[in-house]
Amino acid sequence: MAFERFRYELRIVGKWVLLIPLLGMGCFALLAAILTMLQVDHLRIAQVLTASLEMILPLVAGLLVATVVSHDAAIELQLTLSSKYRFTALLRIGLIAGWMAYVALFSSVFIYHLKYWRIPAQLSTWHVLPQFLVGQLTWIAPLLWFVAAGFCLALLIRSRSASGAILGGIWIVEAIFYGYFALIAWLKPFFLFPATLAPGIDFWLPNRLGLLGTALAFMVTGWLLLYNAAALLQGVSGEE
Amino acid sequence: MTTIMMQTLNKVYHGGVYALNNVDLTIPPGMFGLLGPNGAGKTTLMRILAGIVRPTSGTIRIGEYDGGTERGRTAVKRMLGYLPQDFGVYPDLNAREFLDYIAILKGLRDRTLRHKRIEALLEIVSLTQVANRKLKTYSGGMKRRVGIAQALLNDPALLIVDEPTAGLDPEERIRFRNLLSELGGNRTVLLSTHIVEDIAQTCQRLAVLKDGHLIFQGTTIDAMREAQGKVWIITTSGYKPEGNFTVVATLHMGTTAQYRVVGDPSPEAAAVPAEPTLEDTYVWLMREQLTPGRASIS
Repeated sequence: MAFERFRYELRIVGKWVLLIPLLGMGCFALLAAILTMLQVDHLRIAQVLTASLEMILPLVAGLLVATVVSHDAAIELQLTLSSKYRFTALLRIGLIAGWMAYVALFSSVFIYHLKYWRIPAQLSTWHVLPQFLVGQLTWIAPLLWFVAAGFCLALLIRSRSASGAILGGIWIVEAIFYGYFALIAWLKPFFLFPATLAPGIDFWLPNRLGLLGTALAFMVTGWLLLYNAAALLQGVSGEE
Repeated sequence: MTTIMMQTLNKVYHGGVYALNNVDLTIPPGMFGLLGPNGAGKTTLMRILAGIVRPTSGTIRIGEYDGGTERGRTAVKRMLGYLPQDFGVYPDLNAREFLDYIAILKGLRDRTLRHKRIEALLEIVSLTQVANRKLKTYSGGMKRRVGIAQALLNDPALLIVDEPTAGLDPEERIRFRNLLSELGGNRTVLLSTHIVEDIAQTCQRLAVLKDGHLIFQGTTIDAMREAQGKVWIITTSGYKPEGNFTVVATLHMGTTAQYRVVGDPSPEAAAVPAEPTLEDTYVWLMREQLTPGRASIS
């Protein structure tokens, strides 16, 4: 029954959730191949490929989660079932995050093996295995952060486009003003893309753990928001 | 068979808006109609019964369960079939898959039994032939039938249907009413609607809500007694009669026109008394000023 449930949730979430990260990573692989043929600097290619894992996949995951959470065609029916809707929502989020993580992990093995991985300064002297394993926080932390933020925003705003716009805005601010995040003390825990934009920073590991902590806080907030049935029913017709 | 009892039930939304105001209502087993205009509080009442929305105050008992507690609400959900007014479906699933998914969520674990139940329900709602078509290709009436099928998956003791015939063509509406009547034979079926005809054709008992207040509960015959002596036929030479009444029907017959009115026409109108229908009664109840005594009629 669990497998059938999983299969239906996948169908409901949509095939595009599976296809988008695959297509995205395929495009980046193609771009890296073209840049290599054009003999572009190795560091630039590494930056592009690290960005695909650290910047692009997490943003896509956040947008997909916001889309799935902000609208369920059968929400009123779901709320009347003995199986709690909050677990259904969590399963769908887990499905998206899990698939993104799988694609990211698979891609990271190749990127690391081909020496296109931008290793943060704090890990540069580590042995290969711990370096690779801890280095996965490069994408895990922003992925979970964007997933949790997308989840929380979607439940607060109940709008796919508004949630997406906010996530996109955060992404742009981080990408353009990364220098402030690297230098100002209180902004350091919110620096989402250090491996791509400033791998030399000396607070990489605390930053990753800080992001995971923030993601956890977002998830807990989102979980509590799922208890508010009246808010979940916003947009469903019916008198008051 | 499940009896529902509500006492001094209130639901207050933000800004002090009363969706339900001191509702005392008993719903016995069988078909029960809930009638009222848009905004009367029907959907709120349905959602409270379905355990989606919590009342602000008051008590609610559904069979042996206390609807005011989390445990009670969870227990009620297990014996509930619910068809929401805005019945949304997952468009990329077909009817069979959708029903299977909902059955899994309802806890029907045995795959063989589940599939057997789904096939039986598809047969009942006459969708077997199109069960493999994606739901996005279904008409409104077909989706409603899928809605009824999903509500019946767990063979519920309590079936709540909210505006089930809204937007259906006359043929679909009749089919739906017949289906609901059959279902009401061995369970409690609560039918909420603002279409009086649906209640008249299917329910022996009903309640009428207006602005969150319960203004009537009892049998349809009791209801029609309420409007006895308040329904009139006025025939004029074409002009529209005036007075303290509501025109419920107009029939133009060449040089004359016949008006069916509910209220108190003036003596000079030469009004002839008529037997009230449930629709006349509904209009009369809606016209009436709210009086506390009316809610206790049963």
